[in-house]
Amino acid sequence: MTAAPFRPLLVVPAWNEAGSLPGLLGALRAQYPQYDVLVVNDGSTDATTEVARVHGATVVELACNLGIGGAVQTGFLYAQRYGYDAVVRVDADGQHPPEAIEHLLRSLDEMHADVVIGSRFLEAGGFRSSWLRRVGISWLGFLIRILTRQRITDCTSGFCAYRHGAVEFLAQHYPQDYPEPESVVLLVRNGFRLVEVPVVMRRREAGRSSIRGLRTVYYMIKVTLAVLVAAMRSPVRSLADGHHT
Amino acid sequence: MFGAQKFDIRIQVIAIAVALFLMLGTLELVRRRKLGEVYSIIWLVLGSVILVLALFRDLQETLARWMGVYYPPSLIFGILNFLQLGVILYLSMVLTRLETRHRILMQRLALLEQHVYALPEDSDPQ
Repeated sequence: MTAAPFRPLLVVPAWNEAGSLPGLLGALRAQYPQYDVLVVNDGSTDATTEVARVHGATVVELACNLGIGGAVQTGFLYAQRYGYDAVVRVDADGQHPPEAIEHLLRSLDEMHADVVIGSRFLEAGGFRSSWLRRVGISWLGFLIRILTRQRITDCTSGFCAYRHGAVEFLAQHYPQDYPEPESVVLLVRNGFRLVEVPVVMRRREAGRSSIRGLRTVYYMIKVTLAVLVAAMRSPVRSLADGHHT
Repeated sequence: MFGAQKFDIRIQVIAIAVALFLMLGTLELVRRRKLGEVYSIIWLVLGSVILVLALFRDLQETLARWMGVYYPPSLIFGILNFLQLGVILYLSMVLTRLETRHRILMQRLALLEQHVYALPEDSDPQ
């Protein structure tokens, strides 16, 4: 670590979130005035960009909707380009509590981790999703444990902190379309150290899950396949030295 | 015997017509710049396979017997089906590659636009 102050970037992927951004960005500015906030506007048709700028965030605008994977990856690319020490993804729908960001970031150092995942299931409390969704999350967690020998209780959580090395790696290799469980396998396979910390999440304030109805079935099939295939790929970077290829 | 012979000739004519139509149509599309040469090769090869099998009945019958196909002209369409599956698979690969490139391009553009937006106003070139 250098003597320079630790500089994390808070990345907020946003698709038509003009309604919920003021609350989130206000809370972020009140609690973390020292951190930069980047809103990635994922091809919104509403006033997401203007609202985010009014509330003091830097905005990167994607010309069309890339989906959450492409949007979050844009945040990694930005963080890489401007030399941030870490990235925390914070969703705009109100599920990710801003007060836990500091905890995620501190855990990067305290637990010597490259990635810290905020888990709803490590401790009781908060919004824990529906019964059926928990079954799906358990199934994916089971697959991940078999394939990587690592226990992850909440592999669909997007509330994560990434250290510089993981940011650079994911700027090139972040998965697309429902990226979270696949990224766990990808990161472990490439020698990054992942830890989970308990986080009390809230019910979403605005909008509803994009994964509903038939898409739930598609989600499970796509993510199961992606996790299996990710485990079959050889690592992109050398496990021994941690250098990028 | 005569009836079967007549039927065989009809299907042969149809197959030759389909092959010629496919090949000439492909060439015309390339001429109008609606189809790249790279992709036109797939369709020209496909057309040639049909044409060769339709023109040379002996080859067709030998191949059919070897593959256990009882009605030789259906061999043409069978082979055509398999080749088409291959073409569709290849096109899905092309689509995936295009999606990846498109995503990278959009991300680069987004970062560039943000960079330009953040430039101080007086840095405009005169």
